[in-house]
Amino acid sequence: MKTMLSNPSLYFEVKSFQAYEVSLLQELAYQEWLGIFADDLRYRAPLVYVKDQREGSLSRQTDLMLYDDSYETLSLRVARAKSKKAWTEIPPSRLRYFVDPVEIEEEPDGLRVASNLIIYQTRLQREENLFVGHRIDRVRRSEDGWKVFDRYAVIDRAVLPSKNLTVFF
Amino acid sequence: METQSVDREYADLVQPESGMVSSTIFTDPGIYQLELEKIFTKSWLYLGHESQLPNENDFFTTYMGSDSVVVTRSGGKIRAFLNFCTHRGMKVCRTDSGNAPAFTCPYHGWCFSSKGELVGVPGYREAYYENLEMNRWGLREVAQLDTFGGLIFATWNPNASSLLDYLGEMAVYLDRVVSRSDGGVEMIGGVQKWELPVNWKMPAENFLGDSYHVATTHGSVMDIGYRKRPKKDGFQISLRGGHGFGSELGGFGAGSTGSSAYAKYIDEMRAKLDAQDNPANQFIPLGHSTIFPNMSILDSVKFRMIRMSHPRGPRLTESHTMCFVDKNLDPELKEEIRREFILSFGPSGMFEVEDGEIWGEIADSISGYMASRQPFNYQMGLGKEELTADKFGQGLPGRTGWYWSEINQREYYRQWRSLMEAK
Repeated sequence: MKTMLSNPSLYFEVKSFQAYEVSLLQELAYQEWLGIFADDLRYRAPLVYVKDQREGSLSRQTDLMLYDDSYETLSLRVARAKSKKAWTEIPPSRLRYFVDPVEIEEEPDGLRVASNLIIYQTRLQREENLFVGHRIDRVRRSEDGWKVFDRYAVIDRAVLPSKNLTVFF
Repeated sequence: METQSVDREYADLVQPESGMVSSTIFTDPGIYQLELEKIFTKSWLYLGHESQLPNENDFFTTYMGSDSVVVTRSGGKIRAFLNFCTHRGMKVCRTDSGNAPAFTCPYHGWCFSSKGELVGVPGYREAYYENLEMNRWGLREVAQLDTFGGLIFATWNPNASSLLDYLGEMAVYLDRVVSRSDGGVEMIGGVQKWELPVNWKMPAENFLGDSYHVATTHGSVMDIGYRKRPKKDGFQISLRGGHGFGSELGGFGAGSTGSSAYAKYIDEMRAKLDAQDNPANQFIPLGHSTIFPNMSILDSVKFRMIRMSHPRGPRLTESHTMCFVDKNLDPELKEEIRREFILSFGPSGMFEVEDGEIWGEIADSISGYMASRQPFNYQMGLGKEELTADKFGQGLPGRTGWYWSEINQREYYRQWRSLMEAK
């Protein structure tokens, strides 16, 4: 049963949190960005399977994915991207994130926020990648604000259109 | 119809004996069109793994060259067909995988069994007057299909020698990738698919024989300690037919941040295999490899993968990546391998992101006219090749070069040229 967004202050709080994250990602401030996640983070982006029906059209948990990271391995990716030999970010990408919440549900320990997502990446002279998808975050309150402890992002195109995947969802 | 735009012969474009290959063979539309015929309809090509088809009427789709194909299990037998309705060419299957006893074309409703037979035609009586030769208009089936250690290969070439002959000298080494453990290997679910804006041969030759790029291209992964700096001690092994592999001593891809449970498992396995009298065991894990023309393997201390570089145009490759584990492995180790694999290879892999970056920029650079007249240099280790048997033990086939050597690429392009020149 879907419910409509009805709590303006909660909506504003979610939008504000998302805007903060977008500003960090667009500025490639990945170390600071890691701060929005809880230590027990599960960060996943499944593969999209083309099937006759919607059921089974995403990676099962034991399948390959685009990302399946813990806080520790996500931190490794961030550390790599900061290396002086990370050719994928030298010169740096220019990124724009558009995140829009479509469902917000209160849960015992926090919130479940489902959002639509568009990421535009351009690099070098004219290289362009567009990632369009859907993201489900589960967040909990902590002493220093919201922390995402589960992120599940589906990029809708079955064959990824980019030569590599260096943006975070 | 685009044709070869260069006015030179293959003998000028590809000179393995002097270590030179023109960049044109990575861009020219006419050469690409000819490759689809002379390379991809003549060679044995990898389709997938038996574990993708556990049950009767299971199917999956993939490519052979640039052609979409459906692979089925029907009557207990694995079969492969062009994904092409024999009436108007519509794809009879538009999904990645599933289970279906028959495929019905969504255009006019022709229906084909999982054996490829044409079993239903709307209007067979009223419109075809029962005159349509049903037997003749089944799905176009591959000429030959065979398996090796559970790996499914097929060819469009009815005159091709057997799969075992095709793998040739590579077979003893490939056997150590897929059959070193009782029960063999199985595929982890899911195929990572993405598009590389570069000719298919660029990733294929990289996996074939390019240990040289690791320290520079993947320097960032070494900076964070996820992989040790290469010890500069290792080998390349080149085999007839253009196949080859290479690795560093101690196992390809070892990290400096502590040994994983899988690395320990491999060490234990190697100790156990030492008791067997198989000199090829010394190469476990095998390292990086390509089986001509476009099937690549990475067998590292962290995982095993198969990579297909499907040609989708002279400057576009569709990369399909699959991860493999020993079937009898503990579930926790399988899970460790799955996550390590996603972290290091595939589109977001900390190694692989850099390869995509570089290949894409090469493709852009060689689209210039002057650039198209430049040869690439494959002279590394030229004249320093020796017999594998002399260096690594009796009976081991192939020729070998040092860790940093382009011996494998030279043989690969020699094979490529001989197929392209064949009448």
